[in-house]
Amino acid sequence: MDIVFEKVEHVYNARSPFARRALYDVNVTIADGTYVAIVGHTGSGKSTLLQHLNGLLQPTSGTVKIGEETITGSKRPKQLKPLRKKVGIVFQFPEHQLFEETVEKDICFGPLNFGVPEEEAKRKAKELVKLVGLNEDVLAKSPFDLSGGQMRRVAIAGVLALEPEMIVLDEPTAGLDPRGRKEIMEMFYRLHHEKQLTTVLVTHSMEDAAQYADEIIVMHEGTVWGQGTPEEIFRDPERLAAIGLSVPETVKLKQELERRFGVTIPSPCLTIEQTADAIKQLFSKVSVHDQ
Amino acid sequence: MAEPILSIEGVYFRYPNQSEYAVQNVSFQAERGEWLAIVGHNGSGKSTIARLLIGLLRPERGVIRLFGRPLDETTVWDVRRRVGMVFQNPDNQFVGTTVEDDIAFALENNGIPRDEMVERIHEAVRQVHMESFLEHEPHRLSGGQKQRVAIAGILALRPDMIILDEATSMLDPRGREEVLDTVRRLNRQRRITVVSITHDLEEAARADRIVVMNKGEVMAEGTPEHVFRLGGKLERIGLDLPFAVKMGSRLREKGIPLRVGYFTTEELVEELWTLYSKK
Repeated sequence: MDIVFEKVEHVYNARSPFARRALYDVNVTIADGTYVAIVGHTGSGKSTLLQHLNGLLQPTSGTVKIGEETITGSKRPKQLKPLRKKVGIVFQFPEHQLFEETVEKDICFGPLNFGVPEEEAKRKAKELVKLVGLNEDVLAKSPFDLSGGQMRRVAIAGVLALEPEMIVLDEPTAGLDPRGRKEIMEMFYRLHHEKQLTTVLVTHSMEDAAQYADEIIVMHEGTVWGQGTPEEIFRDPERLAAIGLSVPETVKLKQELERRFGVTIPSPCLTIEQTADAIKQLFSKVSVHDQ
Repeated sequence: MAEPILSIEGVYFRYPNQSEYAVQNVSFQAERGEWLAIVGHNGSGKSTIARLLIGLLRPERGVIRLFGRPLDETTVWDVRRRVGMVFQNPDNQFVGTTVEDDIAFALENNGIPRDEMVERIHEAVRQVHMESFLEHEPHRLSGGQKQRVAIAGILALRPDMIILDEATSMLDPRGREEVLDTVRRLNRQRRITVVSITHDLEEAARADRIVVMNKGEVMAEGTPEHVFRLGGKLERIGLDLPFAVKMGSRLREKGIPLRVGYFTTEELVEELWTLYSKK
């Protein structure tokens, strides 16, 4: 299921004195099965953009094609339910949306609403808690007796319970400690491959964007500033700095080394491993010259 | 060592109906004007310590001393007046409809005369560089701005100590820098003692000294340089080393003979350059 935005504009409170244009001239394609990171400052339009991905918002002009469905300003499919089932959104602090008496009931809530028989929903809930790295015994507990990290996993299981084809993650690790962050990011990466999902990650972490995404969309002041592979996007740190965004620490290091050493490092240096290899190579070249 | 402004000795605490201690046998001190970071993963006991320090919780055993006096019912109100706390979620701590009203709230509660109140509010917002936002609604500010307003609310009470309880963990990178730069300035220029409770070792690297918590106990204590030498041990208890430290140890594993003890990318570049030019 591809998602195609064509000349999308979104104005909040249109035709009122409080009208504010949050998006304009947005043209992007998110191809089926890719892992896409959306980066940009607070207020750049990231959140508005992601709410178009399952029809929570409709464009005030332009079109959004989600698979076979087309959403425009004046027309939206009568049945949004199938679409909502296909695109699961994990909002920021999803644990705030937990409400049921038990973890099992909370995870089953979505599937039951979509008409899944109770037995099947329960069976699925059991699978899902394991998938998100929790023990089966949490099913009987109140979600409010769990730690923050566990609550977040339960909320994520609730989104996965609808078996979406695409999963949209809005800052999924905000407020977690480093170990929790890493575990959650690794979990989504695993799910992306195992379930062959299309994954859209909204993040402030350039490291995460570099490490996990196939493609990065950079938002700036309501429109798409650039789209490309991490290598392409992080090739020019100065251009990103001009719109107040940074590059991963590894790319900063590469840039500093090139300046100080007066050399060009061919590697994109997107991970610590890549960067260590590139530096190692730089040092071994010197030794070769010496001999 | 000068008279500590804060000392905790042999402190134990457990929550009601829990058999395990959230904090056990914890001792450390902070000097006036020092920036002390308390680091640990979620559940390590670090936030419990913050609550113990301002008397929101009471230790089962051990003594907490602030400003030279033991913390008890007779001193707790004085301590709360002199210690300001900034919490994790900036949205949960506003009461006023404008920045100005919000800062005035605590001053009113403390019976500060109106003229002095106005003066203190203006001084406080200047110190956090928010003077042009006095009429703004706190809820419409960015995360970093909200935390700076929260700090201004504390500064107006002229505190001797500020406790940051994960105060930057919900902010974007720019907001985090804004807040930490503000705290650093207040710490250096006004000699306000800072206790920052965090799981972010990049933040802790700015402190004068670090206390590492694990499973309710103090695992290590020392300068950032000293503590970061623990390397893998810190990663095993769920913390993430500063980038330059991680990068350095990966390079050493690859056979580049770097020394230990730098935390910034600039320092790492200099270190590599020294080695490179010796070749």
